[in-house]
Amino acid sequence: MMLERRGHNYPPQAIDVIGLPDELASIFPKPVGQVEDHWPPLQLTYLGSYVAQLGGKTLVVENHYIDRDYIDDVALFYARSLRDYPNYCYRIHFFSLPFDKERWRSLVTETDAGRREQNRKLLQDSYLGFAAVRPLIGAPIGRTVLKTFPEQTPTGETRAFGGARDYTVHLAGFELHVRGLAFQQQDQGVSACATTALWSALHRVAPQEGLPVPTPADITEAASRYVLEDGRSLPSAGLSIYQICEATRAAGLAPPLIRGVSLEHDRAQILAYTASGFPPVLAIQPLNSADGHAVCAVGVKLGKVGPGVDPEIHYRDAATAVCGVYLHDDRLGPYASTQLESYTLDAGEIQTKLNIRWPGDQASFNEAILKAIIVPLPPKLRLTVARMRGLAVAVAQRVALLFPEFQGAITINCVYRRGTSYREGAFAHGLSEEGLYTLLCGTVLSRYVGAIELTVPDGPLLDVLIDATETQANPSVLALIRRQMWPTSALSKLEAMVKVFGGTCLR
Amino acid sequence: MAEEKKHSSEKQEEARTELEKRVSEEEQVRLVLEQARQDVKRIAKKERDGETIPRELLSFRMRQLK
Repeated sequence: MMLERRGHNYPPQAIDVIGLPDELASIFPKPVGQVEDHWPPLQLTYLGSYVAQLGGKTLVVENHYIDRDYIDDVALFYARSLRDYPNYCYRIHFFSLPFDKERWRSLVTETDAGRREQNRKLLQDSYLGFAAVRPLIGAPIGRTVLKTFPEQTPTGETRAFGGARDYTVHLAGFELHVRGLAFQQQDQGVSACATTALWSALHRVAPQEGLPVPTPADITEAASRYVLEDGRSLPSAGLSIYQICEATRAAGLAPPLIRGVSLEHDRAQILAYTASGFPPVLAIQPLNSADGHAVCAVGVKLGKVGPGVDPEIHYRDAATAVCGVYLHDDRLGPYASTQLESYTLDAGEIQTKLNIRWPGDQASFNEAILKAIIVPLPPKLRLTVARMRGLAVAVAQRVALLFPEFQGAITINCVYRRGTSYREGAFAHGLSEEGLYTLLCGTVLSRYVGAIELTVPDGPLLDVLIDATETQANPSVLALIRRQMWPTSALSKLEAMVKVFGGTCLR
Repeated sequence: MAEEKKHSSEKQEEARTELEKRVSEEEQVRLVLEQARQDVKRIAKKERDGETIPRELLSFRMRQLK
């Protein structure tokens, strides 16, 4: 006999082009002998449905793709299995342009530079994103980045995906881009729901802080370094909130933990953190299960700002416009549309309920109570949204009393901004030349500033910038910035505000 | 001389009136701001309710299967 040459060959790198099938799962082989789990997995059905909603027509399938996250899972876990799990994946790219393999061939083999650029643009304009497909039984969906839903909903609401970022993709010599947030399905070997939710959140914040994005294997190892409630870290049996915080710290970030309190409270937290580019992990308790679950909030759905309910309070809260959240829920898929509601528990306590739905459908997939919000933040960002909002209400009520004509019309919004980005946009703030120069060249700003934005229906009224490296919002005001709607005749009132809150008066 | 003295005293009077007006305006603003502070004290405190973390919440385990 002659021994086989094992592992000497390179796998084929053929690229296939096919139309989006009616059922995406139809191109996935059912695992032999699988009887206990439902086939196809919900995540596959969801993915097909989501891509179809985005207008997907064509799949370009790379047969050999080394995925950084999956190969780390292999190194940590699957390489020690009896089965010979390959260390590579398929990668499927989704396009809204219909084309076949012949057309694809002509697109990629074009040699004229001008026409080649036209071809790249054609592909870019119809590019919807990609999904790595792992050779794992029942958990094929690896790192997946898809375009978000359009900004406007068919019913007139606005979608805002502050948790999304730009990804660069290389395919057959073309550089393509997609804006979204990475999603993957838990594999139950290396990662559970909490691992993948935190992994998604870190995909947004780590790169902007110059930190490497940890793989699910890194997260599971970091989370179980000190606390092992289940006795072993692998196979992963889920993480506790304590472990999520530990893994976040190991990634070089700091995780404020916020308890779910009420719909009013929780939606304000989710809005401020997602709008600032810090997608939070939500710890939820499904109503139909004893096990907790974790999801990542990527964006929000905004309707109209609601009127105030207290007759003594003369401002409105931008967070009342939040009517839904878009979640990466690894039981389903990316950007799962979720409604936020108040829910009375048996004990009479009122909490926030998440009603998670299928894409484009009113049917409920799952209902869950929000237990906690964990936000991976840069360590020097110490000012919490709660403390910023505590100051925001004080500022807004004062301005409303100083300007009776604005009572009931002022809306407060709290967000973190990079000091540099705030300066970049300041030219459009309607400041005087002196005010603009003082902001650009005479005012110190922290890397992140807490921005309390007061607006009236006709436009912005006042910005209050707070030093986000401080724990307390007051007294940490860096500047009060007059915006276009602040009456020119009332500059003395702005100065009076500065006397109260401190900071520089910019007008 | 007397004319000069009278002119100077008129100017001082004007300045005093202006100062009083400003002080009263500032006082008014101060009172309004204080009133506002009282109005929202309860709301500002409530914003921080979520910062109180019960110990058992840290052990809340997330293990929902697919």
